[in-house]
Amino acid sequence: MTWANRCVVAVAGVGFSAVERRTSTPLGRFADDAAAAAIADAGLTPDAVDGLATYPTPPFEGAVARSGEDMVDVEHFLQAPWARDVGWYSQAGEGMVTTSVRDAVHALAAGACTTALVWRAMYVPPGTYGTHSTAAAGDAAFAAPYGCAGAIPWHALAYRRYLELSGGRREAMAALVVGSRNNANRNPHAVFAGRTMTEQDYLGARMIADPLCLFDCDVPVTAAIALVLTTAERAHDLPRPPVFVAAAAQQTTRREHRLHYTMGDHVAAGTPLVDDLWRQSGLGVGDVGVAQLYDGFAPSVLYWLEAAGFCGRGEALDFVQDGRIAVDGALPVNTGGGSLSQGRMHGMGHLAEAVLQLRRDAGARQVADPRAALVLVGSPMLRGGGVLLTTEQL
Amino acid sequence: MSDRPATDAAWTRPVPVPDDVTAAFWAAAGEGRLVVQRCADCGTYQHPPRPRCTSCAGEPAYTGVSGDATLVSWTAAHDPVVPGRPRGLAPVTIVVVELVEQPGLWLVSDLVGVDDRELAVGLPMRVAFDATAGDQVLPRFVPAGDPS
Ligand SMILES: [Zn+2]
Repeated sequence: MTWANRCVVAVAGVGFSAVERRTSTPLGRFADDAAAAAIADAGLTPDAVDGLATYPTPPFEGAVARSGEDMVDVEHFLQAPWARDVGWYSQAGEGMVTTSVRDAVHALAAGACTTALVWRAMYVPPGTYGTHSTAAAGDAAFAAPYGCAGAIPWHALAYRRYLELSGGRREAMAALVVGSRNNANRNPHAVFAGRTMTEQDYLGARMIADPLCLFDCDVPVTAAIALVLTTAERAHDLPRPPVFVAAAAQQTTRREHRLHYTMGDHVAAGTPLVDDLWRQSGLGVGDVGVAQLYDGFAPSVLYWLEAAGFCGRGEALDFVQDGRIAVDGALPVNTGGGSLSQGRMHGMGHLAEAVLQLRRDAGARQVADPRAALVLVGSPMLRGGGVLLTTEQL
Repeated sequence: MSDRPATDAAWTRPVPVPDDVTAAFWAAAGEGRLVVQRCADCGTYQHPPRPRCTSCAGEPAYTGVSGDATLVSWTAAHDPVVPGRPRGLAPVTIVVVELVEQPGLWLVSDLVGVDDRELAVGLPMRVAFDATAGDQVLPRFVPAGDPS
């Protein structure tokens, strides 16, 4: 049965701040810029916003998390002079930006608000990135004393087993990572818009936790991206072509392994998530014209491709060769450069790129004629989610 | 590999904090015994510990296990990925092993000074109690063919 809220809500505007690495400018100003741009893009004024949704959590341990300075939570915008009519908000603790989109759809469909601002703001702290505790409590007591702490070893352990079981070679990942950089070179919102990468650059990169090298890890940035969501009915009267939310789902599958990521957990969580998107929308894998697949670490793209059914188990490294996922390929993936090359926006870059592609606003990296964009965000440890966007109101 | 250092003195490992659910695991490790939660109702092992059995919501109780395992995965983690490890040292090889008692019963451990080319999925491993974090003895896993 299709989703009761299928295409009831549309994205009416998208806005970007500048993108920096480290900066002394408070993160709240980046968020203000992105929000203003998204609201203007939608042809609205800020006082039209009556709903707010974000996933504000900093991505690193030891973050101070000061509202408006190194994180941008709902409180930041409730302090804005234009926010007097906000009647609904949602602040997700887990699940990332697709959760915020889904929450906003529910609120708009239920009439809790009429115009929702959805954003994600990310910050690079000064000094060493992240800190580690000298004590390990809870599950971490069984992993951190052995050096297994944080997303890098979690992903490396999953990726090693994936390569061993599939017979793949890490050198083959160059096609995906260099391709992502090529896309970013055509995206003015990418932190690596002006920096190219060759296969030799990739193969020469230093190891972080093998088989993950430096360029398999995403690039931390300071930036904000915002979307304006409203009802499809209102969106038809606004200047931009509406991009409809045809499906939105949440990962809820229980993980079998809680001390690190595994390929099995990713597929076990990813497959029912994607199946839910097909059920909600009535569409299928063959309808997807462009895919934005979370790439905080490059191998996640492989797992998403397999979980979504674009290729068989263990086949994704072969699938991404020969330009198949390039802008002019059979399945364009991460056309804006993704987290690897546009910058680590925890999925909001992926969502925004999907909107631009469906509006035919993606400039030099525009895919020929996409009607549906699949956005899959997160990983089993982070309770990610998925959104399917369409150009037509199904 | 007999020249492999069993521990690495320069590494200040994060110290496990026992709690009501996990104290028995760490107390046993201090005595050189590996114990894992096993459900008194359905017999399923689980790790890391939980307040209840995640298969049937029954009562878990710590049970001695053989300490025999096979290698599931590994990564040579370079600084600064490894908490408490000074920069400039050799990478730590973080490993995941599967205890022979039950498929999917996985524990995390590490190897110091190992040649990763010797490692393969399915390699037999065995438990050792040759490292500490603070005053806490850690159960670790080494290739079963290595001299102790
Ligand atoms: Zn049980």
